[in-house]
Amino acid sequence: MEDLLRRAVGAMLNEGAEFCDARYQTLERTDVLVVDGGIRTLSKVRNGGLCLRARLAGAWGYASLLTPEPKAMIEAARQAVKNAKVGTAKGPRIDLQRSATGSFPARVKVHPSSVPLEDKLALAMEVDKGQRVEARVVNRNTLLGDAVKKVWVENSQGTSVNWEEVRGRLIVQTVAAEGDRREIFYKIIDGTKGFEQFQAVDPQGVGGECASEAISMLTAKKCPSGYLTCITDPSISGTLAHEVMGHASEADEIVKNRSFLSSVVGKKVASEDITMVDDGTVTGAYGGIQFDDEGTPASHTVIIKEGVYQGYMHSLETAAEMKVPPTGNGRAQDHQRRVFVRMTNTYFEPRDWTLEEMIEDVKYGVLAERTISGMEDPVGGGFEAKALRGFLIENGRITDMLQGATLTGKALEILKTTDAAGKDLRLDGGNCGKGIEDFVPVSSGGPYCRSKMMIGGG
Amino acid sequence: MELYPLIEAALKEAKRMGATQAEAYAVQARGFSAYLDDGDVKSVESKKDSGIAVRVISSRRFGQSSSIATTEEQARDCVRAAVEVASLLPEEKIFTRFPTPMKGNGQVRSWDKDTESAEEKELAQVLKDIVTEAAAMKDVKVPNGMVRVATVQGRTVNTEGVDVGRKNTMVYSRVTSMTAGGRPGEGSEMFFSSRLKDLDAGKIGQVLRAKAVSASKAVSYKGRTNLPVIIPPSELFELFSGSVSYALSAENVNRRRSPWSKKVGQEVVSKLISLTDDPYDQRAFFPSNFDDEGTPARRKELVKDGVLNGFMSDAYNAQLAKGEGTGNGLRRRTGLAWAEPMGQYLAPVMIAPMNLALAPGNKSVEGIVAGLDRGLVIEKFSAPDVHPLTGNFGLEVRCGLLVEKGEVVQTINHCLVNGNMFEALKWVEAVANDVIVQESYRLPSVCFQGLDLVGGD
Repeated sequence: MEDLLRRAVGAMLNEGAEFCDARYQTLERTDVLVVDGGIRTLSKVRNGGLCLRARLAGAWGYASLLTPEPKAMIEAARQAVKNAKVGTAKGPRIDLQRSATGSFPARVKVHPSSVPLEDKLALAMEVDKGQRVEARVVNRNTLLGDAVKKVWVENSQGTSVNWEEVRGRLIVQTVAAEGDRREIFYKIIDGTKGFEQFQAVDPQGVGGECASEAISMLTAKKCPSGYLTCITDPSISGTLAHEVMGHASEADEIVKNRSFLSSVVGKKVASEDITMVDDGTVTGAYGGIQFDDEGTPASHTVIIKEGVYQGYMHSLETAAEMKVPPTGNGRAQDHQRRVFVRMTNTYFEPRDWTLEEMIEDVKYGVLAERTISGMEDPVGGGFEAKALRGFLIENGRITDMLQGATLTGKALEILKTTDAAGKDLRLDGGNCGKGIEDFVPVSSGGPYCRSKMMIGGG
Repeated sequence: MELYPLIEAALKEAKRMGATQAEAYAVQARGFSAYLDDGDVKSVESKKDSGIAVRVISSRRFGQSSSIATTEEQARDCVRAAVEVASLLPEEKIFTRFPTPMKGNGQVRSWDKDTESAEEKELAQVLKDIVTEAAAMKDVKVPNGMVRVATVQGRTVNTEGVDVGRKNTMVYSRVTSMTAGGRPGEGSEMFFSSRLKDLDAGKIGQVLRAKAVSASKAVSYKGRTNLPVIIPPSELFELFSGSVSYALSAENVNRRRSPWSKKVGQEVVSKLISLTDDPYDQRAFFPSNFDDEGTPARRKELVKDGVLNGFMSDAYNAQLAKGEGTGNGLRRRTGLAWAEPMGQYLAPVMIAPMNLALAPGNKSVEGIVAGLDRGLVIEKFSAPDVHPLTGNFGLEVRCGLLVEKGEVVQTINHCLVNGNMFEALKWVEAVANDVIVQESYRLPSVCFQGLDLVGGD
């Protein structure tokens, strides 16, 4: 494979590319979906192909094909350079400060390809069985999926690297109903570990817990609306880290001044309780990578340290434009998609509060739990997260369970009001789309955080 | 490689391996995308794709697999994976047969020769034209944008005699604009069609400019009130996707997740609401004569004058409910992406609308605004999504126009519009006539009565 990719790189250089790379990847996925005790889907999916990328001045040309057949590859190399010539963008040359070489298998204990499909089916069926706790459970869903991705990257400045990524997700969703009222609860176990992460769980226990929580939500009350003290759980804290502070810290937004964080390096932007990082090296986290899709090793990038803004996440291109080292954040959804600056595992670091201490001090507020969705706003710095449920806090005590609500506000104003951060960090995986496309696996998280913001539910 | 050799190789292999029934769905696609970055054409892509999805019934067991496939051997590999999957499963009680051939009424053509022959340079020019118009006003720029053109050919053949094909061209564009200064305003615009000639770059540029300028005037809303809210199609289609389409899916009905499960024949929404899934409408993003299982894609009046008439179904859910498929079994919507021509064989069959159309009213948005004593016209929500089970929503307003006595008096942001979609649809003040296509929806603006608007204290 390396020889073929090097030929493609050579062909693009011959056509006039100033910088170029060739990336071949394969993806094998297995998904088991059990619905109401029956196997709704058991499928195997194979995807993959070759992406050739050429840069001229500041513009990129891409050409992709499914199989690295030599003749078609040379034609695609020509097309990539031809496409780059159509571009009008300008930019500095990319000069790699170090190139990566070598072969890096995934660091897992039980590779999913070594696990019989029967075992995966049996696990999903056990989780389903666990959800059968009583008649108010009207719909049970269990998705167990794993994906093995292999990537080879060769570029015109000596990078010659290949690696493997393994990901797995167990998603449990239970619907409970009483009369016309319906509620849903979910639990997710995910990561870049092997099948060992699922062997370590009690499948019936996970299913039962999810179902019990769905039933308990049938009595949840409407969430109050207004500007309130909110304690956000790790998933919602992580949504603030990822959607607002994270997307606005991607250097491709910075270089075109499309971020409210464009000129804040060295400035105080949050309370001293806030330290935020993007770290692709977190072992086992869903957004963990060994290399980005340009072949740059993943790194630990400090974005905010004790309230003071430090710096941005970079691809090769933005690093060249801002004259800093790349951070391993040049990522692509697949071989059909462009590479640009993307996050990996983005989170607020924990501090020293317990959740009980944080609740004790609140006269009237909401503890919001479990992100359903969030939206980026790098231009305006607005935060929006939809929470699955909440708990009303009155005079230092939790008094009621609440239905889902939306949390919003200006991110920097929220972070300046943060007066407590918990001592436990949790990361939740997901797929991040930037500009509603180009989905890459990431995780985000943090500790429980207490801040003031707008909240409202339907 | 053409589609038929892949399909024939797959069906032959399925028979050789003892499958009693088999279905092969093959897709080939080619397309181009061009991306803008700060007003310049940043990257241009050429893509090709070819793949197959196979479903088999073997010893009364059901299996499926999908894969890239450029050779007959890859198609056969895909069959072997599907048969292996089937061998591990218990006997299938629900899905026991693939669709049989049915004659459809559709004569729609969703392929445009000029669009198919478009070249990379034309896409780059479209983006340049958008930028020129949007940036005609000083201090407005176009930081991000893209336009994509593709041709997709698909064919579904099964052992029961189904043999149907499609050829679609598609054009998708999404562009954002912003104003300069300390408090920039941002606009965005999307375009969906099967024909490139329908894309009016100048008009998109004008709208982008107006939206950015409007958003730059927004001030944080303080206080709370209850008022009529007009939601435009660009935001409404996502709200419909998360609520109406969810409720109309036979899968969600059969799984008791739909709030409209036992309400056929009942008035579920306002009399002003009539919803038709119309795959034969030439203006749709993906007009089609058949779905991806080979079932004719019928025109269906799902809600008529507020009364629920029926649901959308695929073959699986039709058999589960002992009914007929409605031609809504689709693979072409590839997971999370809205307009992706590549990988249309990778996802399993899911129920989705072909072209869910809301019947327009006879007033313009301006006419509805003129009749409002108080109201809010939404230009942009942060993320217009709804809790599909409950219908609850809390939507952050990125840009909204406050109306008093028929006139816009203020532009606002940093506030929430709260409500419940299934309730809000019962209390519709008016449906406008400004219909546009957004993905698989064809909608006008809708004015909802009495939603809560909550801002800071």
